[in-house]
Amino acid sequence: MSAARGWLRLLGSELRLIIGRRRNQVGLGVLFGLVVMVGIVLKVSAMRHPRSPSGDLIAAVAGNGIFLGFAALSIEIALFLPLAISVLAGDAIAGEANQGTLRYLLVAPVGRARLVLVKATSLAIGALIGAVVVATAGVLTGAVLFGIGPPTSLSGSQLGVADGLWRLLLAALYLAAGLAALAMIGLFISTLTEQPIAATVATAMVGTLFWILDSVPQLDWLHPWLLVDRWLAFVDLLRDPPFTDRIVAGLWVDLAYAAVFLTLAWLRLRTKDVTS
Amino acid sequence: MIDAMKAESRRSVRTRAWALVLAGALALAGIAGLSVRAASADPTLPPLTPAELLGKVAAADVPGLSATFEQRSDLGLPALPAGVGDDETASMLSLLTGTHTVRVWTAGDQKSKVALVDGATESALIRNGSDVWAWSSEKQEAVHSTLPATKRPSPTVSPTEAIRTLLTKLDGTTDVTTSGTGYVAGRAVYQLILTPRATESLVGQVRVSIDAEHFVPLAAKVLASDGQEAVGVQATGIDFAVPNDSIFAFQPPAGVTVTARASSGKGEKAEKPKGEAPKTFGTGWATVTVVTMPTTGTDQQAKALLDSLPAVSGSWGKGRLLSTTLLTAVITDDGRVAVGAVVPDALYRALGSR
Repeated sequence: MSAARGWLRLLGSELRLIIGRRRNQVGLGVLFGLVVMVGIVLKVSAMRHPRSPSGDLIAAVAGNGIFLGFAALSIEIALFLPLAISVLAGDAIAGEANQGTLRYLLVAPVGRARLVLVKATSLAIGALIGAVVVATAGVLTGAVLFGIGPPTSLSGSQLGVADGLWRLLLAALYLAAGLAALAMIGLFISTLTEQPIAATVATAMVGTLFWILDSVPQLDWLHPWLLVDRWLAFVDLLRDPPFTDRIVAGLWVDLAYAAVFLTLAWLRLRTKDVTS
Repeated sequence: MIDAMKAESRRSVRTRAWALVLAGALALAGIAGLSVRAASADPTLPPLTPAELLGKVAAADVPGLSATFEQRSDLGLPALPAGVGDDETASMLSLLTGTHTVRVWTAGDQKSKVALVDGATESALIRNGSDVWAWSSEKQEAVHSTLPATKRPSPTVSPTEAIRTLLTKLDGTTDVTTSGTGYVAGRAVYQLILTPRATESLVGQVRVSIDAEHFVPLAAKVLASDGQEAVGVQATGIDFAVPNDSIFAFQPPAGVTVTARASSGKGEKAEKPKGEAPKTFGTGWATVTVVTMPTTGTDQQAKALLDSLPAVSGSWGKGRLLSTTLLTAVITDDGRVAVGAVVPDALYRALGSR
């Protein structure tokens, strides 16, 4: 019991640290601001060219603000959300090592396994916060600029407003799972170095590399195994009834990556010489 | 002290082993979730002859189903450069390569829906009684047409009779067998195998997998003569519960283009392509079709594409050869096109015997 309480206390202090950090707050602000900017750009172009019939997410925004939530996710998942999670993950171990606080964390009666688990959990929560903030920014901006009404599904049926918002939340949760898996890769990289910037850059590069490999048609045999391959499948939630095959497969891939890299991170940290 | 350290290290070895096992198991679970091709033994089913199996398919009465199919093509076509042709042809061509997902629902014989799931778009064809809707989310367009209220013509021959005639007719060109069983989308299936007798045919085999309980086809594959799968449609999931009526109730959403089209059937095929009527040579699987193309405009792109094909020549003339795993075409310099699911030699022969 006390172990669980100690675990929660450690997680609480870790989360306070992540949320309290000024650079992380600024990062969230940037994620939010980008969505507002996209919304304004879309509003201006919608006023200039009133309604051209086209069916992509971006075009649908002009008719209904809820779609700005989905469009925001699809825009930021390509670069900004992975970048943000790379910053958090790079900081996780290497940041502590760099500041010399890792030593003290381990001097306190905290097992290394528990430390890795707490770091991983807080990164997953960070991924969740990032995705939900982007989706929320989209809906809020969309509501102010375009108004909100019952959205039309990709299958041509009318969904309720509550149903639309619920599906947006599911989409954010799905992408958060993918970002959390990327964060586990970052956590592992973070145990390899004492330079948080190096770990951050390496993680962001891994994320970008996935996207690049995923866009090369000659490598289509590799695509199903890439972490990012099914991230954009969140639009399947906009079908009626929702199409879950690709999303479920995507969650399995996320789980496989997370399991492998979380274990690697732990194996690395438990034999690591912590000198600083 | 030393004992304590030993115990500690032993414990850590054990936890490490456990962690490795756990991570391995989770990774494997992820992989298994990806490729649900369970390598389980084939099911044991009571044997059926082709005639019996087809009889059951004809008599099958499925009240409703919802299914997901995956269509794959590997025709050995070169990846087309982006921007060839207009949007329409590009989307047609895209069906010839890669993988596509189709969702299917049916309820009775009056209600059905087929939806092509593609990236962030969806095209669907919905039939509800006499109403037929074609929906495209990409164009934000709904086309409505009404089927003429016709009664089904009552069959003059019994299904068993018809199947027997069909099999006799097929026998000249095709070897029809039921061979083995298997699983498709987790369901036991019979395999119906059609093997062309013509040696010139590029089609090695056509395999149709038929559900052993409800007798609906769940998969169809065309194997090229080298045994590789060239085109295949396969169910990845199927549910024989009658789907909810709301699936078939299509209401065009506000703000989309709605077109009403007169009842289909007449007036659609009135326009005949110009040029000579196509001639056919050979029979069955080895059929070759020769068409004389109307002299087309000199499309630079099309010409460049054509020039990239290997040049061939013979007593029949000169031309370019397009060879895929399943189809071969020769485009001659004097504007004739010979197409067939055959080896190139059969095309040359057809071109020579004009």
